[in-house]
Parts: sequence; C-alpha cells; structure tokens
Amino acid sequence: MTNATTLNTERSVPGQIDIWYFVLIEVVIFSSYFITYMLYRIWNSDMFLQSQAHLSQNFGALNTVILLVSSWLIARAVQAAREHKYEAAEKLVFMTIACGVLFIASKMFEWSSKIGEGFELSTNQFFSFYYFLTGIHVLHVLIGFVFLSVVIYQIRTPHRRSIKVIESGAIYWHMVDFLWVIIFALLYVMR
Amino acid sequence: MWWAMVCFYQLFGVVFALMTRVMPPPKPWWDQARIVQWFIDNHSGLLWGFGIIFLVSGITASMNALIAYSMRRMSVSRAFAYSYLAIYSLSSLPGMLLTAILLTVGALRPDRDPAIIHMLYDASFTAFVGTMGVFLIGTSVWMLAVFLDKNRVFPLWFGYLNVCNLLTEIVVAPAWIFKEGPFAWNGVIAFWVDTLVFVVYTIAFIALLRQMIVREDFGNGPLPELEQRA
Amino acid sequence: MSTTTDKRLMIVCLVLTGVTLLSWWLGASHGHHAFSLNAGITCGVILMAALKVRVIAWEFMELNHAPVKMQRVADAALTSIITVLLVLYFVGLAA
Repeated sequence: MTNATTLNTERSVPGQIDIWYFVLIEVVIFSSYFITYMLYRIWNSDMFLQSQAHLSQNFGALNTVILLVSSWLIARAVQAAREHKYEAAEKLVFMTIACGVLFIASKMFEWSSKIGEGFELSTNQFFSFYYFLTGIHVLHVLIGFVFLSVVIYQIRTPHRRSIKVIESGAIYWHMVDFLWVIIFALLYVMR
Repeated sequence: MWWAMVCFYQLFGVVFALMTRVMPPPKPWWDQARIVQWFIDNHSGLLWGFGIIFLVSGITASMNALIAYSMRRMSVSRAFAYSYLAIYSLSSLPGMLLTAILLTVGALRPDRDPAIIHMLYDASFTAFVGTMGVFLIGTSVWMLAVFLDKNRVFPLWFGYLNVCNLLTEIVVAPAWIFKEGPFAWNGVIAFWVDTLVFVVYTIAFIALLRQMIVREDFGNGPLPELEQRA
Repeated sequence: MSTTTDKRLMIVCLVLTGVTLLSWWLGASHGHHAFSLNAGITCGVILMAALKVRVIAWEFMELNHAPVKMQRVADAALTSIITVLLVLYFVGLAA
C-alpha cells in the first residue's frame, strides 16, 4: 500500500489538465463522427467498399508515417526543453512544423488527384466522409501550427518558459496524430 | 459607486434566471430543419416559438453585454470586449431577428403561394446560417481572450471548449452542399453533433458566467481594477 | 492491494472471455457468415489502430507517468470506442 502511494506522488499530469479536457471532448466528438461513418458504412457497405478501392493506400500510409515522425520529433522537443536545451528544442519544433506542412501538402496533392479522377465531396457518401474526415483533420493540423507557434514562443522567451504549456502543445499535436491513426484505419484500410 | 455595481448584479441575476431557462433550447430553429412544408404543419408552433424568440432577442443583448463584460474583467485589451460586442450585436440582427421575422411572415398566411413560402424559408435559413462565420469570429475572439487572460476569469479549459465549439461550427459548412445524409443541415454530423457540443458549450459558459458573478460578489473588490490587484 | 488485484483479474477475465466470444461468433455460430478475410483484416486493422493510439498516448503523451485515474479514463475511452466500432462492423456483417 505504501508502495502504491509513493508511486502516486511521483505521478503527475503531463501538461495542463485543461488540455486533457480538450482532448477528451475532441475524442468524444470524433468518436461520434466515426460511429456515424460506421453506421452509414453498414447501410451501404458495397458502395463504401468499392469507393474505398479508389483511395491510395500509399498516401494514407505515407501520411501516417509523416505524422508519427512529427509526434516523435515534438516528444523529443519536450524532452530537450526539460533538459534546458532550448536551441535543440526549438529546432525540433520547427522540424515538427515541417512535417505538418509536408502532411498538408501531401493531403492537398491527394485531394487534387482525387478530384482530378472525378471523386468529389458530393460524388457519394463515402467520398463525403472521406473529404469531411480528412478535411476536419487537416483543420486540426492547422490549429496545431498555432499550438506549436505558442510552444516556440515559450521556448524563445526565457521569462515566459513554462514546461507545462510546452507539454500541452505537444499533447495537442499527439492528439492530431492518434486521430489520424484511427481515420487511416477506418477510411483507407478496413474492409 | 458600489450601489451601481449592486444594481448591475441585480440586473445580471434577473437576466440569468431568464437566460438559463431560455438559452439552451430555442426549439423553433431546430424544428424548422425538417421539411419545407413545415410552415403549414407548425403554423401555431412557429408563431408562438418566434414570439418567444422576439422576447429572447433582447435578453441576448444583455447576455452579450455580460460576456463582453467578462472580457473587460480579463487582463486583455478592451478591444476584445468591444469587437465581441460589435460582432454579436451585428450578427444577431440578420442571424436571429431576420430569420425569425421572415419565418413568422411565412407562417402568418399559410394560404400564400408555395413559391413565396419557399423563398421566405430559404431566405431565413440563409440569413441564419450565413452569419455563422461572424459568430465564428465572435467565438474566436472570446477564445483568444480566455487564453490570453491572466486574471483567470475563466478556466483554461473553457478556452479549449471554445475551440471545440468553433470546430463543430465549421463542420456545419458542408450543409451548403448537401440536401440529405449526415452532412445536410439536419444531418447527424452537421446538426446533431454540432448542437450537442453547442449545448454543452452553452451550459458551460452560463455556469462559468454565473460563477464569475458569484466570485465577484464575495470578493472584496467589486470593481474590475481592484480584482486585478488581488 | 487485494482489491486492485481483484479488479485487474476481473478485467483480464472479461477481455479473454470477450475475445473468445468474438472468435466463436466469427467462426462457428453464423453458418452463412463464416469468418471472412475481410473481417479478419478489419478486425486486425482496428485493433492495430487501437494499439498505436495506446502507444502514442502512453509514450508520446506521457500518460505512463500520469495519475492512475487519468490512465483509467484514457483506457476506458479507447476501449469503448474501439469496442463500439468493432461491434458496429460485425453487426453490419451479420445484417
């Protein structure tokens, strides 16, 4: 029992607790999107499967890898900031942003090639969901840039540095990452 | 000057009792989502509902004032409060009153040419949804203020809740394109999720505003300047 | 100590039973819907996504050092959404 309590005092909430409330609400909202997607998929499974075949699995996988790497970079940035290696941390955050830009660029390319092939938002329900889910996710990436900018600002101004805020920004970015992991599974690969 | 503050809070109290009762479910908007023919079906519901809305519209103004006031209490520039106030008083005209007026006009005479009814319906809906962008800006102003505030008038998570509300409001955008399915304006995603989040958001900010008032009442400095010092 | 162990054992038992029931349901019960390759792929894909999310949350988001309560909430959220998605998928298959 004493062992358990000492363990508990060592534990602390990563980042600010507020960002976790945010993550929780976002997870609930996205869950509702996913469940809606699954329901419509059930009602129209053949059409969903056929449409899904037109998506490029390679792009999806590439996007996932980009985001996973970016998550790794920002996690390293937080670690560096904790060790007061602020220059390294800043560089890592910039690399994270570069990954995010790369992600959005590849998404844009994917969208434009899909539209070029004649698959648009209103083509059918699957593509509605495809553009909607990827679109709302890209929106989250864009907001992520704001979070990362705050992180950079925090790292740069010594009297403002708060490791909690830096961690919160990173937590947001990781959330964007894991949401994509589920979107990737549901849109691209599941049968 | 303390009595002015007391009057202020009395007024707030009244506004609150009315608002908490009225704010979460302005039903007529929701019912409108079903069918174009709904004018005939909902004839009396519409008239009564919008009668209430007309009453509420005034209260919304004082609520906006309260929200703007909450921003004045923060450590942020007054520009936030003023721009919020300006945006909301601007958008509540076309977004709420115009919608209500147009729909009431439609409901008053059910024997009118269906084409005109249809036009009224479209016009009111467009007026309502078209102002979404303005509300978006309003919400982001509030969000930014909450994030930048050092007086912690609102907890940080409320700022994040603003973000959630923003994001789900943006989701309504596809409603322009779809007539049916989950993204249409009565669809699961564009409407229900959005509404649910908005209701949570509304409950949260009403509770927080009330909390703010209580905090002020019991604090030793009712004036914003004194609170900043504490 | 004993209560936490008890709980843990119960969860383990529930998970094992659940997986067993799932495989039984996939394999035998529905004669006309025998285990298909697609179902297997989907099941694997969703479970792998769950694993990825869990690793991201634990390692990157550092939930591994977070208070136990938070971990519980996170696990509960992840388990419930994945369960709902899987159940929906298999209900859809059966329908």
